[in-house]
Amino acid sequence: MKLLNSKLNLKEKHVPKFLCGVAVAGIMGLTGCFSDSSTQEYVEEQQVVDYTQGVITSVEETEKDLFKITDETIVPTKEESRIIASYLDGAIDTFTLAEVELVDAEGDDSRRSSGLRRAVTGGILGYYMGRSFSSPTNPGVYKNTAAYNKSNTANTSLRSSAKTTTVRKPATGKSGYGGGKSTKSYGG
Amino acid sequence: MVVESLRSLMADNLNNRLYEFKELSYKFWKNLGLAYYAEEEMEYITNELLCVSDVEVKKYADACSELYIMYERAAQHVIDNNLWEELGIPENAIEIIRYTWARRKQTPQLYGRFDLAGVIDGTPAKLIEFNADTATVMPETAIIQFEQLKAANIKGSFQYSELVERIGKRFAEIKALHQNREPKILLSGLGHLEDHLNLDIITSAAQKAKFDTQQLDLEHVVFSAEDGIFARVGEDEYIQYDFWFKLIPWEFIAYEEPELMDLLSQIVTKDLAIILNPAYTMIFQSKAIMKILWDLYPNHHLLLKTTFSADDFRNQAHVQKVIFGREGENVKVFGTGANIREENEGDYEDFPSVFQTFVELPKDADEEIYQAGIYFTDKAVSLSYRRRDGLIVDSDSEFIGHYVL
Repeated sequence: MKLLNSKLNLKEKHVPKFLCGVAVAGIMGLTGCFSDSSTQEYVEEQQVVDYTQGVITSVEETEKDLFKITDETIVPTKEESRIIASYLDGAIDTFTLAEVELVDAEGDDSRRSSGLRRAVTGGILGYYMGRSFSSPTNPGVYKNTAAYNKSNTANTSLRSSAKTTTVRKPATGKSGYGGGKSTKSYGG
Repeated sequence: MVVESLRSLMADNLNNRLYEFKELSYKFWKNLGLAYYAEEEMEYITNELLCVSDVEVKKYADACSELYIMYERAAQHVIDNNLWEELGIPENAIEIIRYTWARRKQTPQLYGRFDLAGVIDGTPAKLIEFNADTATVMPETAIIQFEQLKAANIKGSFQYSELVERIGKRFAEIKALHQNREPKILLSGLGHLEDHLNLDIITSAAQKAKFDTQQLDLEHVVFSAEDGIFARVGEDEYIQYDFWFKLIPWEFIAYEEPELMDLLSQIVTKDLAIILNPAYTMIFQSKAIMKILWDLYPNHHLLLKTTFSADDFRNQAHVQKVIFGREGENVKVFGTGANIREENEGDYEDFPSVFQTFVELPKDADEEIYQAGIYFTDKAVSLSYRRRDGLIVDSDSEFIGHYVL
């Protein structure tokens, strides 16, 4: 349908991975998940945050394997997010969120990698990983006060663009009604 | 004077009202996501538009406003006198109907569509039926006839069509009446493509009122008597929706899915969710309400005599309709003898019937009949027609757009 976008906006959820720039699950693809009128029992409630904007995080290796954030700039979409890392030897690396996730999936736990991770997740990227909006960024991961103050402004922008959805788990839920009835229209 | 003579010319012969334009291609409709309606074997979209005057539009609109007030009075009569059986409403629907009726100021009907005879042939408007619960033909009315008029480019003409805007406004009112609820709506059908296309119109209207929207077919929606209505978004993850729009008839749920009816009754009466259209629209939807209307407003100029017995129509042309039929299924047209002039089979034969005076729909020189569909929110908001050769407007009809001049 060109009329409108009826597909689910893929929700980003709090997955304990280094970064999860990649969307998780869509409703439309779930055909067949339910058996007829199955009963399920659940209890919890949680917040799922969908960030519409992205962030470019610049980090600098200030001592061997120790990184500090020098700048965070909000960009219009999540896909434009980048991490720009400047190393002691003068080299520079740029990661997209997808690349970072790939590295993480391959289990790179070198000291340099975990140093980089500690810095960027202490900043705004931490919100993408599940840090609650109510907890602030960590001043210790910023190179200086100016960078930290800028992060607060960026944070406000990110927050205003984010959509928060409460995900509840029904205590008892049933589904599977009306299956196999799609052969005719039920309008009039 | 010119306008007057034009009008009398149009009333004399419907063919004078038809404006033919260069047919829009299948590809054109496909690009709009409406290929379904343009399939050749459907023979549904035409290259003609029907001219209607502003006076006629007002006649339709006034008729609908008056009818809606009459329907409300009739529904109150049904509730006060427990006429559930007469209306074909089963036991399991009564509580939710009473509950939603008592709260209809907080949660009004979103929309419906009156099907009317008359007006364009110079005869008075007459009610054929009110599609109160799951009215469709919305993409045609909101988009197709709009595009057709654009292509026809008839100077000085406009269209009586504000469907998405007006349903959107209705959504905005409903949102304002429920400020404690998250403006997030789940919209469901049973999976047919045509129903999906209609859901898209409602989705669009909800978005105009700044609702977050999500479509999900009924079979994947999770219902909980304790917690409400949910869409499953991931492993063990469910999003609760305070609003649910269903393009699924209430009587289908009541009769075919009684367990779901029971859950919905609990969900609504515990205020766990708002369901649109509200359950009380089932009263309006039952064609037996037209018998109640005739009892309350005998010989009213907008009504056709409607009763529960064919004996009331001896030597009179009449129509037999099942009370919860749709798309012209299970309709029989009888002539002045007891002879059957036309008959449609269908899936709804188990329901009881009403009998109604046969009214000739406006007819053109090719013996094709025109039935007006007028969408209604808190007032009439949109007009379109369906055309059929024969006596019963059904799923084999053509869609005919209009222009006002």
